Amino acid sequence: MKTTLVTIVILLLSAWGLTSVAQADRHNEVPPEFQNVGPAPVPAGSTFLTIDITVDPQGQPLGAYQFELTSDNVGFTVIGVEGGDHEAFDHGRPPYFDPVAQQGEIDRLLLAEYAKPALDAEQLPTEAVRVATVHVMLTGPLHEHDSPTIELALTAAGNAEGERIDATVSHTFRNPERPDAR
Amino acid sequence: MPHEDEQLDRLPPAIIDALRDLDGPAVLPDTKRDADVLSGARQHLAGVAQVERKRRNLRLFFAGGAGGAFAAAAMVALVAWLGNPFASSEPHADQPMMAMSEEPASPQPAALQPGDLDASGDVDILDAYLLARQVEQGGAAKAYDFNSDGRIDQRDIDLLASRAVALSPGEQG
Repeated sequence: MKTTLVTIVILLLSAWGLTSVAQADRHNEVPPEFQNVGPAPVPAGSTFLTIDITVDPQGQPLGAYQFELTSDNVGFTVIGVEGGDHEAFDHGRPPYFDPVAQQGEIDRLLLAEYAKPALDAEQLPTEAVRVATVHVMLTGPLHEHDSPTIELALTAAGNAEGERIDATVSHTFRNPERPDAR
Repeated sequence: MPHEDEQLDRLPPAIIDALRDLDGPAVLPDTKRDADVLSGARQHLAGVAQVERKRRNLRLFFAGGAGGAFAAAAMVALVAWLGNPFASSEPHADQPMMAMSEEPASPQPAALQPGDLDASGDVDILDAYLLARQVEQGGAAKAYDFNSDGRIDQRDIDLLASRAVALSPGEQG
């Protein structure tokens, strides 16, 4: 009986160990979309856009935001993403986005960030604040228009308690060569 | 026995009377009571024997290799239990949701996604923010150990936030 119990315990421990190893492997393995994929090629004559994104919580403390950037007439590839101006959202890394956006042509990008969770409502921005800057490379051909159409939609914004609030999102282009981009 | 009678005659009368009372009619055993006692004893012994047989069978069960089968079944159950909660992006109707298992405070929609802390129907950055606040306050539920490493920390928050911004459902996290 004692031998059997010891055997069961050893088997359970072995199973746990094997599962841990398998999960570690799963965490470390390169997702298929990243395999054999180098930096996105830069075609000659490519157009780059630098887009500043601003969120206005309309007087309420902004604890988190998430928005979707889309284009219905041109594909694009994300070159880089920078954080915004407010210290509450400065985690020492860019806002969250899917790295797939840097590997090839996409037509939409989700970008999100939350404030440092230890901060109180008084320490969060309550007015319009630049939350991110997105650098994209447009990938042709353009459809319908000569100018790329970039749209933004705020999909989530929350206060210091994580409760949904009404807020607006807007963007501006830094590139003088594309003043007609909207 | 005349010798014994002489000895009796020398005893005090009270003792002689008491001794003569002992020489009454022979007490016959109560056969019905004996049968009852015997029957009860047999039933008791039969029960003991049955318990002993079960114990012996159980020992044979474990000694005969069924213990290995049981251990294997336990191993399979453990592996299934330790599986990544994000392995399947679509919740099953008969599967308890993570948010529901630990956060019954607010009414939950029927098809709650794993990680939907605020029960909004979608996993977004607000869920990651709520989890970050819970981790900061030290009160995060075990159900939010999304990477199954035994801890609820920044990695779990990152997994949830990454899932919120995934361009294809189920690709991240």
